[in-house]
Amino acid sequence: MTQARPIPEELLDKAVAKGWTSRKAAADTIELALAKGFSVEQLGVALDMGLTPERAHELLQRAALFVRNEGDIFNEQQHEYIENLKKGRYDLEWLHDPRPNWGITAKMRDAERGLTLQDINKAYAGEPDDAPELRTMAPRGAVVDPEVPDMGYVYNQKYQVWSDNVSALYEEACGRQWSATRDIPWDELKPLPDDLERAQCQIATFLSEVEMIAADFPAKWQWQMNQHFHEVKMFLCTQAMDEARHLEVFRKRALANGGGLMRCLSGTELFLRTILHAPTYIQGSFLMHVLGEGLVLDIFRGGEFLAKNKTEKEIYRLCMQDEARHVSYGTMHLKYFLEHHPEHEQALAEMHALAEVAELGIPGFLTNPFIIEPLAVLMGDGVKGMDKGMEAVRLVWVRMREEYLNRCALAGFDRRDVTKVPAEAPF
Amino acid sequence: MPKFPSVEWFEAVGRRVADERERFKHLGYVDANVGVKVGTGGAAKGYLLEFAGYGVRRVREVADPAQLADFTIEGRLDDWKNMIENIRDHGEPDLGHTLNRLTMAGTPMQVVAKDQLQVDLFYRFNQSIQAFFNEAAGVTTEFSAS
Ligand SMILES: [Fe+2]
Ligand SMILES: [Fe+2]
Repeated sequence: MTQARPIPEELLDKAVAKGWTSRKAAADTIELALAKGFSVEQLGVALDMGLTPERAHELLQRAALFVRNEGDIFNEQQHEYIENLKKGRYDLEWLHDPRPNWGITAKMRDAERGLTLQDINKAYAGEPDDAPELRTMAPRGAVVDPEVPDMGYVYNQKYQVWSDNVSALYEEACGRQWSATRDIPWDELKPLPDDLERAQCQIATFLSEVEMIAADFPAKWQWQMNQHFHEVKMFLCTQAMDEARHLEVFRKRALANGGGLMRCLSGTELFLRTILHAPTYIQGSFLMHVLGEGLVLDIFRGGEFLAKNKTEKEIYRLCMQDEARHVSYGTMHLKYFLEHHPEHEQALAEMHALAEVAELGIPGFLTNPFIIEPLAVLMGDGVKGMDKGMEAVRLVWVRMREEYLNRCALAGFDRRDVTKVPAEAPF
Repeated sequence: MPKFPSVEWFEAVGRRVADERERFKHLGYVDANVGVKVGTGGAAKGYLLEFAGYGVRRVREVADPAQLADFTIEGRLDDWKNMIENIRDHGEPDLGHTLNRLTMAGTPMQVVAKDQLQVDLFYRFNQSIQAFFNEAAGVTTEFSAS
């Protein structure tokens, strides 16, 4: 038996605020609607869209959407159309609709590559509006019904999601997909000395832990982005697939050569939580695309220092390619956001305040023994060579900071003179 | 026998890439002008490899590749020679001789670019660029005197 769902207070507040006569009357109507199969969320959206008590009652009375007469599944409009069809009368409204894009033939710039997003964008409706009026899933540039419903999108301004390289990055991502099952030479994996296997598995555990954040975080915001900016959503879908593969490939590595999954730290989880629960997309995007994935990109870049065989080399290199796309989107999104924000100075100040705190994550990452010691063991080719490995870790520190500051500068977000992250490793 | 470095040498590698079209297609296209600088100071030689689609469209000798390229891979002739000989000996580079490894901090070669986004192109297209140089395994190479 299904339990009656309690009516949320906010929904009643909203109904009263929208001019519904009394709380009691609103509660009765809402209860009836829930019983007819509508959800609380649908009712919230309907109230936002101006559903009046009269209209609500009218709809519920008919309630033909869900409860129909036995044997009749058609509504009035459908009946009318069926009658017309029987008489051979077609509607044909679609044939007389305005045709803003009739006759468009997008051309391939490069036939061997195929028809790209850039090609079709060049041909028609390629440039999204800064603030599209509609909140629909209708393809940009299509003819849209006047009474089209509102999807409840939150990000309806181009600067909130856009980056100028996003279409190219989507195409690049599609062209460079790989399989962690097929494209990694797993048969080249050979038993390693215990210290190297442990180090490799500690890093693989860490990476398998952190990778999925870069799918979960964008997914959380993706539905809230106006579909007018479909290229951004499509790119984020490729990122989600990339991260699934990264989780997969490092989990496979940990479990494929005698080591296994190792320690996960609460500090790492705290940082992931900060990203996942960032209050806005730009904040989370900066934390993740620019800062977090920038650091991870440098680990992947060090792949040949860390790899002990062809298997690991391929893993790191292929992940590096994917990761660099994510970081490129984040950098160019930050640039677009800051350049087009209506209150530039305030936005800049807010981002600096965020970066002040977020940059604490860099030393948090680079003074963590569960991260830098396995890196040093791999770079020094064993515990015996750890001192030499630490020298390489110090170089990684310098480069991580440098590349992060370079990306910020490119985005018009100069952190070089204000960052508190030391230029050199303090060890 | 093409001499390294020269336009002929890069073109010979490029022809092998063209013969392996399907394999390179699987790796993904490359949109980047890649600079190569061999040697230092006044004696340095510069080349611009215009990658387009699944191969190299054009190779030319240029005075300063960094001016024209998205990113430039720089190294002394001996470092390039080591890398190419390693590729020739193994059919592909060992772990110590990939472009990525040789251009990391504290290593003999470098990737230079106008900005970080251009450097990131080297990461984004790395597999294809590496696969291009791996084709050097099949090009009998004579080296300029260092
Ligand atoms: Fe990743
Ligand atoms: Fe990523």
